[in-house]
Amino acid sequence: MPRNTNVDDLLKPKVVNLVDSEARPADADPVGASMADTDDSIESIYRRDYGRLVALAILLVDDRHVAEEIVQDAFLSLHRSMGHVTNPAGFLRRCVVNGGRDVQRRRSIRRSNLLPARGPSQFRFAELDDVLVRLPFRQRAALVLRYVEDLPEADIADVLGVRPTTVRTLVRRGLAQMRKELEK
Amino acid sequence: MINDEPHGVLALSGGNTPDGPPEEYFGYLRERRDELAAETSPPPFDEMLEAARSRDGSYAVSVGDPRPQRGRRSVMVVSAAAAVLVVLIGLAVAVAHDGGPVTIQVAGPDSPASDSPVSDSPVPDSDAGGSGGRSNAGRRTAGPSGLEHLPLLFPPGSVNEMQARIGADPEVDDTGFVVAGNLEVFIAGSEGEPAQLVTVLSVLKADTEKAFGLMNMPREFAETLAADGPLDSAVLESGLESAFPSTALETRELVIADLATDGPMFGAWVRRWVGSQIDSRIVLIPTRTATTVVIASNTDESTVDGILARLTIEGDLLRVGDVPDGFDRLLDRSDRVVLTGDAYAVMAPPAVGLHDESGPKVPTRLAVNDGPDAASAILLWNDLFITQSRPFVVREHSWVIGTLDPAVAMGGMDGVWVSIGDFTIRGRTDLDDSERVASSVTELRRLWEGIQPAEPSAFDRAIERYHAADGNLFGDTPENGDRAQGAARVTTTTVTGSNGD
Repeated sequence: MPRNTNVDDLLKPKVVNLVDSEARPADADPVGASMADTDDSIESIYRRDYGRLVALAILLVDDRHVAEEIVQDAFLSLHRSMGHVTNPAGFLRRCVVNGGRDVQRRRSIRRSNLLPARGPSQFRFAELDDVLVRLPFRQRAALVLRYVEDLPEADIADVLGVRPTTVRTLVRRGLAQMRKELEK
Repeated sequence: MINDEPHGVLALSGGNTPDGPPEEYFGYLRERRDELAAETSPPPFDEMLEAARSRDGSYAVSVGDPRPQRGRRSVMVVSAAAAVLVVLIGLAVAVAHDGGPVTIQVAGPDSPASDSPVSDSPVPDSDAGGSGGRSNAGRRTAGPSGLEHLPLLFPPGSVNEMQARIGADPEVDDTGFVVAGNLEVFIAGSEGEPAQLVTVLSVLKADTEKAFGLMNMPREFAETLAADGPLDSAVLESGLESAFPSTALETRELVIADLATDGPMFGAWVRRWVGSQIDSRIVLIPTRTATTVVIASNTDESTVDGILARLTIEGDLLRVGDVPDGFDRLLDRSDRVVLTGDAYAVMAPPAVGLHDESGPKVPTRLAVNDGPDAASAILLWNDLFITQSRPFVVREHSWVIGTLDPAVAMGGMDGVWVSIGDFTIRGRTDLDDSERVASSVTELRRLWEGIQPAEPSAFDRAIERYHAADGNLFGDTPENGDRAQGAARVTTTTVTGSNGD
């Protein structure tokens, strides 16, 4: 059944969706934690979190140059919207994910080997990198946000603009696909 | 197994499980992320901002720019024709002009722009103030144009007023009218706020089984969907997943709603409900009434955001703040991008490979012969399968906005379907059972010229009434909404042909 048919919802401004309603616990979200200080200026946020957001974007698009552009555009959006954004961390993360998705739509997957295999399982990790990059974007984003960024499902759902149940589905399918590829 | 712990970083059962990769892999990714972050130093903030501004800005589009709220006195739902035509006209104008924001409206027969609601030439007319190339310094904004001061089809009103205006689905109870499927786009929003866009696809229940059957949907599922009684969400979801095992559902939120109790008002009810869910970006809503299955979706959220962030409702006008990303590129691409005819217009974005390995495959050709169910199938197929390449289509009165990515656009009306693949337009008409291929505006127009005008749809009739009433078809009072009952259906595609690709 419809979850909500209140007229007020129809009147809800779009911007509401761009703003996280609650800050996450600091230990749950390093980026969010670093941005939790409300006294932070956008420049301080930028200096502190630029690298980490670029890293996130690289995991999503596997291209440093594009990743940096995505993050810079995210900060530009934040700069323009600063007065309306109560949770810069969530805002920036959503910008990065949306930017990654846009990039994904506009190109074929091409590997740039920004995620070289390391460690004792190099061979398998390299394979997994390839598989991860080839996953549908939202599956990839869900996996990265959950297992790399360590976000709870609710936050992932917010970033991706889906329900938490969908996050679980995306994660499940992403994992299954990676397993399937590994077994080939 | 995946557990439901909020922080299931290692929520895979140990080692190489059947459920996913080895958990060490994600540890490796986290280490790699930290390394990447450590080796990345930000450029000076001001320089970064300037560089970001000077770029196309396409990545930033998805979040839009929050606009000041100047009141919430009204909720407005605008018909597909009016709303999207407004957008497209505005965009065409916007590309042709520099300067401040322009207010645009729907072109009509009596309007100054009625001769050419959408320019035949996608290249801006220099006499109209076109400015040529796009500046790297930022997005261009639209300037004044002759398209100003044309009213929207539906003037703003309260939710109740809009419900009255939109009314029930008039065709549902019209036994003499074959409804293959409706794909509708609405713009909704409040005064002074960014607009929202809703797409609703509905299919008559009577055709549902056939339509889904054409899509290889399991018969029992189609029957379930077509049957009376509450929908079982589990059945529906599993049925859809079974029918569309690829990416169709992976990129969508599935929500079940049963609107049967809303009776004849279901059309407005659905729209209202969809509108209420837009912020949640629910993109697929299979639902059912006693007579109709409705599948509603919004289009790609980032694209929609990019468009809508630039549209602001001002009274009974839509204001285009500047050119939405994508559309300027669209309109810059000469005749391969904006295709218009007297009765039809088709838009397609710059070429994106149909067989892009990152996305689903999209056929480059569709031909439809007999049967409204074929049209339903295509519309549904269109909506469900093309998850990353959403088509535009279209007829002058039934614009559909999709993502800016697709290389396919298709549309149909009155026995003719047109698809665009790799910018080759293939039209097949049952008038002479021939297929024609066009690759330019001129050729497309030539193709269309052979098409006879359709029996006016409800929308057509509404348009006629609108013009006959000097643009005040429904007035501003709720009681006038009664006159709109049955007349405001927006997009009706009637096809008399059979599927035959």
